[in-house]
Amino acid sequence: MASQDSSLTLDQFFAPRSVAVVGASADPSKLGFAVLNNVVEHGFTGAVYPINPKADEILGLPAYPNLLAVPGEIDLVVVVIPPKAVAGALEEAGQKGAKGAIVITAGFREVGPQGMAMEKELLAIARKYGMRLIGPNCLGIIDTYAPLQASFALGMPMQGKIAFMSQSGALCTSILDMALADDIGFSRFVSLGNKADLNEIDFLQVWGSDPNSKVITAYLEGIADGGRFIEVAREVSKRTPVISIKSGTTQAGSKAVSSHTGTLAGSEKAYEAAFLQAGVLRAGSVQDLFDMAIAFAQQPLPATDAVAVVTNAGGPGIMATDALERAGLQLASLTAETQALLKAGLPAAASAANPVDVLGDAMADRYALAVNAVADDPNVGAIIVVLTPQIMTQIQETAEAVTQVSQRTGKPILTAFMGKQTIGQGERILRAHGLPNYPVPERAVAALAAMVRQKRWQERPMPEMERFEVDQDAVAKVFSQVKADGRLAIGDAEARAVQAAYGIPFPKSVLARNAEEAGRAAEEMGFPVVMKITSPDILHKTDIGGVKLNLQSAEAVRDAFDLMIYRAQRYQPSADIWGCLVQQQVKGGKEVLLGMNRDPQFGPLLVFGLGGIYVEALKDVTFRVAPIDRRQAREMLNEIRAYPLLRGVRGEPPSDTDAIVDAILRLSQLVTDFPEIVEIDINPLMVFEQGKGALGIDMRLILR
Amino acid sequence: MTERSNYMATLYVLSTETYSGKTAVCVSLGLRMRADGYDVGYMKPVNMGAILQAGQPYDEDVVFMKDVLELPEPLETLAPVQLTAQRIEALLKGETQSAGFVERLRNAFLTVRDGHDAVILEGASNLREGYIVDLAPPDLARIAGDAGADARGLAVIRYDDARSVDHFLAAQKRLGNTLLGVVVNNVPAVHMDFCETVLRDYLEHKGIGVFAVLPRQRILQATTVGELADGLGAEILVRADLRDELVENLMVGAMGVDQALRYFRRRANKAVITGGDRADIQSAALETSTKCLILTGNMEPAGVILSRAEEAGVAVMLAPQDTLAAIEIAESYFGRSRFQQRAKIDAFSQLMEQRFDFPRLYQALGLGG
Repeated sequence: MASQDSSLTLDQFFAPRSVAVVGASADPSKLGFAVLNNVVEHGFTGAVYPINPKADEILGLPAYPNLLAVPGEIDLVVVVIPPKAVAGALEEAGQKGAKGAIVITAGFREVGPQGMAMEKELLAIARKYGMRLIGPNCLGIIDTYAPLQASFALGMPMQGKIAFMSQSGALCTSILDMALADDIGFSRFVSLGNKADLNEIDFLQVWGSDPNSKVITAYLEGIADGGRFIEVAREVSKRTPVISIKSGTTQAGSKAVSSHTGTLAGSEKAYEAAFLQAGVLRAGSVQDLFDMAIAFAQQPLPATDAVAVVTNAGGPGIMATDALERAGLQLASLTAETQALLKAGLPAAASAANPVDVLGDAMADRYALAVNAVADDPNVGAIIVVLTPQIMTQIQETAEAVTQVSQRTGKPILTAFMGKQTIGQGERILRAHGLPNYPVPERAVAALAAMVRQKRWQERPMPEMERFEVDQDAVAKVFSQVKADGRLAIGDAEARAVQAAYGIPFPKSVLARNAEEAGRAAEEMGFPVVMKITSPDILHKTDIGGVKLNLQSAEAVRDAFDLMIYRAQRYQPSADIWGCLVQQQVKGGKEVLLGMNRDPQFGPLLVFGLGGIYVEALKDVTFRVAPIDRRQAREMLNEIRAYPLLRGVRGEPPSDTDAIVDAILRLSQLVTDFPEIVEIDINPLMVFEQGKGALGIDMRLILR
Repeated sequence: MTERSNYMATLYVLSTETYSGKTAVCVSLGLRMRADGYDVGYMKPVNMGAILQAGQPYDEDVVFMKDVLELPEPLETLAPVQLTAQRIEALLKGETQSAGFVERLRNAFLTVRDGHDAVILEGASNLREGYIVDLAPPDLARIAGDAGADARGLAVIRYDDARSVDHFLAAQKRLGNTLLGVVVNNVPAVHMDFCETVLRDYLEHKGIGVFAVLPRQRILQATTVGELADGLGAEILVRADLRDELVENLMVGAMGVDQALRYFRRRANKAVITGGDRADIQSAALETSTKCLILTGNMEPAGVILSRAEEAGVAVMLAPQDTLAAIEIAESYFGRSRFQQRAKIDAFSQLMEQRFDFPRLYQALGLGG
C-alpha cells in the first residue's frame, strides 16, 4: 500500500544506527551468511547483531537467540529465515522497537493463497508497531553513503549519484556486477520484492529529496497505484530525473508479468501516456537506462537543444548528425566568431561549420581548440565529442583536453570515443572526471535527447485542472439504476442523460420499441434519419445489419425496424434487445472519436483520434491519463497525424477544435468523477466548422 | 384462514416444456400464500424422469420444496408416483402393472389435503406426459376431483416471440376447463410492451386468464459455481466456499490480453474458461466482474494468480478437459439450471410480487382474502 506521508524519510533503512540479521549464519553457503557478511564487510559503522539460536558467535560478533535478547536498541531488522518463522521475528522486532524490516525470505504471495495470508500477517504486524517493511521476496538494499550493504548481492558498488530500484531481485545483481566493471557509481539500491508495504512510490518520494541521488532509476513490472504514481513522479521529476524500464509490453511479455506478479501488465499506451505526463523517461533496455542515468548523474542539463559535434572523422560525424535530427535535436549554427576562430586554428581542409571536423590526423591540441571554441559559443547548448583512433590520435591527451573544457563550462559534454582495444585508457580518464563516454555517437545522442526532454519538462508549468459546471447527481442516478438492474452497459436514453449532464451535446434521438413508434419518431424529427439496434449484448451493430443510414420515409423506418429486430434475434437469440434508436441524421461535419478505457495500472486512459470508417485501419489516435488540463487536451489534438484535416486543407474552413478540446475536458472530468466507468466511446464526435460546435452522435458506456 | 370443507383449494401448476419456470412459480406462490396466512401443501403427483439415489427414486425438486415450504409429509407422499426410465420399460414389457398408481396417488392426495388449507400440485415437464400410466394431466385433474378437490390449472409458458402464442392455445385445448390461466414467462425486453397489451387482451379474449407477464431475467438463467465444477468434474483450487454463487454468463478467454479486458468487461457475474497457462487472461478476468475461473488442460495456474483470486473473491477450478470440451459442458448448464438458490428465489419472488395477480388467483381458488 502506498504511503501518503510527505514527511516520509525511510531513515530506518538508509541511516540506521544498528542492524540485526535474523537468520545470520556462519555457513558460507547460506543466505544468512551472505547478508551478515555484506553488512560487516562493506563498512557499516553501527552495531550489528546476528540472531541465531544455535550460535554464540558469528563472524566474530556475539550472536543472540532472538531479537528480544539483544541488549541494545535495534533500528533495522533483516530477515532471512524460513517463511513460517518470519511473522514471529517481526513480532519480536516490533516489540524491540525496530522501525524497519527487510524481509528477504520468499514463499509468500507469489506461491499462492496461504503465502498471501502470511504476507498479510506480516503487514499487520508491521502496522501494529509502526514499522515499515521492504519485501518479502527481495534481494535487500544497499546505500553507498551510509554505508550499508544489506543484501545477498555480491560486492559493493562505487559511490555515485544514481539511485536504483527494481521489481526483479535478480536484475539487481547483474546490474551491480556490470556497474562494478564499468565504474558506475550508485547512491542507493533497493530490491522491491512483493511490495507488501513499501513500493516504488515511497522510494520515489524519498529519493526525490535525497541529496546523494541526482537521478532515480527503476525497473518496474507493475505499479501499485498508477494515479498516485503519476502525482508523485510528476512532482519529483521536476527536481530529479526519473528513468524507468517498463517490461512486459508485448503479448508474451505481459503474460510473463502476470505469472510473475499476478497483476495485469497494463497497456503499453497507458504507460507511454502516464510516463509522459509524470515526466518519467522511459528506457527500452538496461543499456538505455544507464546511458541516460550516467549522463544525468555526471553532466548538467543543457540550456537549449542546439548541439555542437566535434569529430575527427567525417562518417561518424554524419551519423551523429542524423541521430540528432531523428531525436528531434538541433545542429547548432555556430556564430561567425566561432567559425573564424576555428578557421584560424584548424587546417584548411577541416570543417569550421557544425559538425566541426578536426580531421583524422588531429592531435589533442586541435580537439582542445575546437571544443573550447564551441563551448564558448552562445548558440551551443550541448557538445558531443566524437573520436576515432588513428595511428597518430592522442587518445589520453584528448580525453584530458575535453575534461578540462568540461570542468570550466556549464554545458553538458558527452563523448563517443569509438573503439575498444586502444580507447580504454582515454575512457578511464573521461570517467574519472565525470564525462560519460559512449561507444557509438547514436547512444550519446540518445542520452542527450533525454536530457533535453528533462530540461523541457522542468520548464513546463504544472497542469491546471479546470472544472465545468455539471450535474453529477443526474449521472449518479442513471448509474444506480443500471446497477440495480444488474447491467454493465448503459442504454441509449441513459447515455443521452449522461451527455446532457456533462454538457456533451448530441443530436435528437428516440428509442423506439416497435415499428410504429419508430415511424412516428422519425416523422416528428424530420427526414433523413439513422436507425441503430439497441442491445447491451450486441457489440458489433454494423456486422449484423444493425445500423441503417439515410432513411427517407416512415415506411422505410418501419421496415428497417422489423428487419433489424429479426436479424438481431437470429444472430444472437439470447441477446436482450431494447429496441431501435431513431436519430436525426447529422451532416456536414468531420468525424473524430473520443473515449476512455480504464487501465488496470493507471486508471482512466483517454483516447482521441480521427473517427469514421478508417479508424481501425489507420489507428491515428493519441492517449492521456485523466484528469488533464486544457493544454494537454490541445496537445492531444496536435499529436494526431490527421490534425491538418481539422485545421482545414485547401481552402476548407477549419473545424471547431475548441469544441473538441471542450468535449475532451468534459469527458476527462466525467471519468474522474465516476471511477465506476470502465469504458466510454463517443464515436463519432461530429465536429462542425469553427464556432459551430460538435455533437456526440453515439456514446457507449460500460460500468464496472 | 379458509373454512375447512370438503372442497379443497388446489392449484395445478403445469408447463409446456422443461425449464420454463414451473418450479420457480410453485416456490414463489407457496411462499406468498404462506406469508398470507395459508397453510400450503405441495405434491408432485407424477414424475416420469426420476433418478435413483441409494436404490430409491429421487426428485431433487421435491426435496427442495419440502425444505422450503417446511412440509411435514414424507417424500413418498409428496411424490407418490416416481418412474425411472427402467421402470417405464418394465411396464411396457408387462413385467409390472400400473394399476396401483391411481390408488397410491389418491391416498397421498388425501393425506396432503387433510393437512393444509391449499395444495399446489406440480405438473409434469410437459402436457403430453403421463399417458403411459394413465396419469396424463386431464387424468390427474379427474383423480383430484374424485378426491374432493377442483384442481385449477395454471400453465407457465415461455414467450420467445409471437409464434409462442400457439403454446398457450394448445394448452387450452389439452386442459379445457381445468385451465384457469397462464403465466407468460421469460419475455424478452423488446416484447414486454406487446405482451402486456396485445397478447394479454388476446388471451383474455380467448378465455385464458393472464396472471402475470414476467420479463426475462438473466439471474434466473444462471447456474452456480458448484454446478459447473460438478459438471466438469473440476477441482476447486481456491474459494471452494463460493460453490453456491450464481454464474450468469460464460466467456472464453482465448484472445490477446489487450482485447481481453474490453471483452470481459461486457459481462457481469461470469465464468471465464481459459488455459491454465494464460496468466494474462486470468489476471484480466480477475479485474472484471467474475465469479469463477475454469482453467483447462489440467495446467495449474501461477501461485500469484491464486493469491489474487482469493483476494478478489473468485473461485478457481481446474478442469480436466481441453477448452473446447469444457465450453460445451459448461454451456449446457446455462438456462437449464435448477431453481434451488436463495438468490434466484428472492429475485423471482420479487418479480412475482410486482407482476402476479394474487387477488385474482385467490378468488379463483376460493381462498378468502
